[in-house]
Amino acid sequence: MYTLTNVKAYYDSPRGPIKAVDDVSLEIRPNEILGIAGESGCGKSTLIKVIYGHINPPLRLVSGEIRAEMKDNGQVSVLSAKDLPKVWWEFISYVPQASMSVLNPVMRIENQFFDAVSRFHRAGNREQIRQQVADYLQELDLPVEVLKAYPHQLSGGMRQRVLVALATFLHPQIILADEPTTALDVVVQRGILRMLTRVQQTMGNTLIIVSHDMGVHYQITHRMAIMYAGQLVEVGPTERIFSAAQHPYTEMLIKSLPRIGDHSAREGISGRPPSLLDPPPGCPFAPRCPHAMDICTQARPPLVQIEDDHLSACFLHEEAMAAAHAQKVGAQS
Amino acid sequence: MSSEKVMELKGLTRAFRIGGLLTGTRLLAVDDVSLTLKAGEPAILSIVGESGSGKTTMARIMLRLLEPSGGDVYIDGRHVFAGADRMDSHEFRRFVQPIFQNPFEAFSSRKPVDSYLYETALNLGAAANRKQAREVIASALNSVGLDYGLVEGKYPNQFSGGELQRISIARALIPNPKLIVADEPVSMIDASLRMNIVNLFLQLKNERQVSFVYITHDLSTAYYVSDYIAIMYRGNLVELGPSDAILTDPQHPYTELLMDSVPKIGEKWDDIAVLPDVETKEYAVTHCKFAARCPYVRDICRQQRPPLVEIGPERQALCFRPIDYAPQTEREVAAAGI
Repeated sequence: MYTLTNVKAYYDSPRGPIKAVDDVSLEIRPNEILGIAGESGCGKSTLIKVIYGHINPPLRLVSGEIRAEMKDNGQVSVLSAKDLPKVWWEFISYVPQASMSVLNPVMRIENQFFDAVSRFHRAGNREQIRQQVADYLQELDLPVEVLKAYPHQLSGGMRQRVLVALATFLHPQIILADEPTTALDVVVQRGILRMLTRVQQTMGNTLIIVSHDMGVHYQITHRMAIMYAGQLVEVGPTERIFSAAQHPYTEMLIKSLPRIGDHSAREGISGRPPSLLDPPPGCPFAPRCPHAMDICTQARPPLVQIEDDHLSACFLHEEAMAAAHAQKVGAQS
Repeated sequence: MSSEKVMELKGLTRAFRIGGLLTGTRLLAVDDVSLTLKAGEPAILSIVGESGSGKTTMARIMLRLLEPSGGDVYIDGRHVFAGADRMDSHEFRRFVQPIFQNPFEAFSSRKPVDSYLYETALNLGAAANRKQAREVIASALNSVGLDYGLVEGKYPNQFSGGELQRISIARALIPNPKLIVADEPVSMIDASLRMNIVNLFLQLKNERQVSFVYITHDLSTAYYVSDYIAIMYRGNLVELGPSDAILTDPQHPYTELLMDSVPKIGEKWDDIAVLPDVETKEYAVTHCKFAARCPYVRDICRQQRPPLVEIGPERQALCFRPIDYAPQTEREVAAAGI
């Protein structure tokens, strides 16, 4: 229902384009929790911006196609990147990082709700909307009193819950959450993640969550996309990513994570990610990869299917690479 | 002659005033904390807590960057803040060295990083001249897996966060300290590089006989690296003991809640658990600060401050539950001792 095909989105900078999203193809499905994982600076937040259609200079959509199918009263309309801002809140909504103060500090929460949704809301006047908001908060087990509060009167965890409520009030088909629990305590984090997963379950829509914490992905996501240096290196069911990672980067990353109750030695990955200004011509992970071959520094490996629903971009998958190549040649002739 | 204790905190308290001069309140960031790090075998003690638990305030006091409001800090058996035999700054810095959270803030972007290494070596008497200093520096860099030639003359922006954190560890090693206090040293480091830094602590503990105080909010690296763990909550040390014992069999209800809340890999959350996260003015209360969230709370917990109870070899918890909620009389509250 939402697909990205060969999308490139770069930031213009005086030193040249920063290739934060570099040839990403991804299918976003209804009724799933999709996790986007990767280290800081790998482009995962930019990918979320692109999916949200929030593409403002210096960020620029260089090439590729974005195609979203919006269901509206039984009708399906097809949207491209530039149409998305018009359907924020009702089709696609965004929960920002907890550390960001996106709420207006001098406005009561109820007025922020009103400001955000009244534009799209077809049913009724201010009082009716206020009542619906109150009902919705109750549904989410939030105290209705928060509506009368100013943001600074709420704890960090409660502010983030309000943002989740705000983002999901109009039942969007896609909810994007960019590190929604960073900077919050783990106890509060667990509560907010549970709130997000419950909303997703109730509405049956799509939740896309960006996190650098692999534990968060393990706990709540159904499918994961692993990003490295602006590219997707692996996409697959969460359970398979953790039990049978295909890409060397994912495999090494997961092996490096310490686990409580297990004292076995863990190794980090030596080296560092490449600069997004000047990424290597081949596989972005090749300089750090213990399996790197000649071809890895020359050509970029495409994402190919390894097993059901599990894609990886690595030249080690010789058979899958050959099959994908044959298919491509076949399609061309 | 050196003391039997690398570090000892006795009844350590630090209050801050928050808010206005007249309307403000006193916040006890660190509230009567006692703990000891023994000499002999070097050890890694993790101080684990969430934001606002007082762990960074404790780190700053241990590093002599902040004076306590009450209680005493001893390093190598000597007073740090008061007394006639007080350690002077020079002695202190040869014995205790810091590692900070953000390596990019620890080095000025306008000076080559090796200039800091030379300063440390020459100021703290690790070397008499630049030539000697160079050797000392090269050996310290070697210990953290870096080559002097690759560091010389370079500026901070030429390194990754992980490399720069290694350099700050190398700098800390130069005076051959007995104790390194590391405040969230890997929280700014990428996941794929984090373990390299954490492993370095283990390696340095063994090879250079350094003890570490590792301050973190991350239970999984704390478990991985430490011999002892201290759990902080709202300024109180609520549980202390060997890391295996604490994390496999937590005794304080807060430790239990914390353990349950960590998004672990390989063990899914159940969906039924009650998650108390009311945020109240817990710093100010004189009874148990966790009482408002505790599933095992009884009246006594809201009336008295719980004692630090010995619950096993080298283990303590600040809780009424292990003593069957017996009211506190003249009970002797044992000072924490590892």
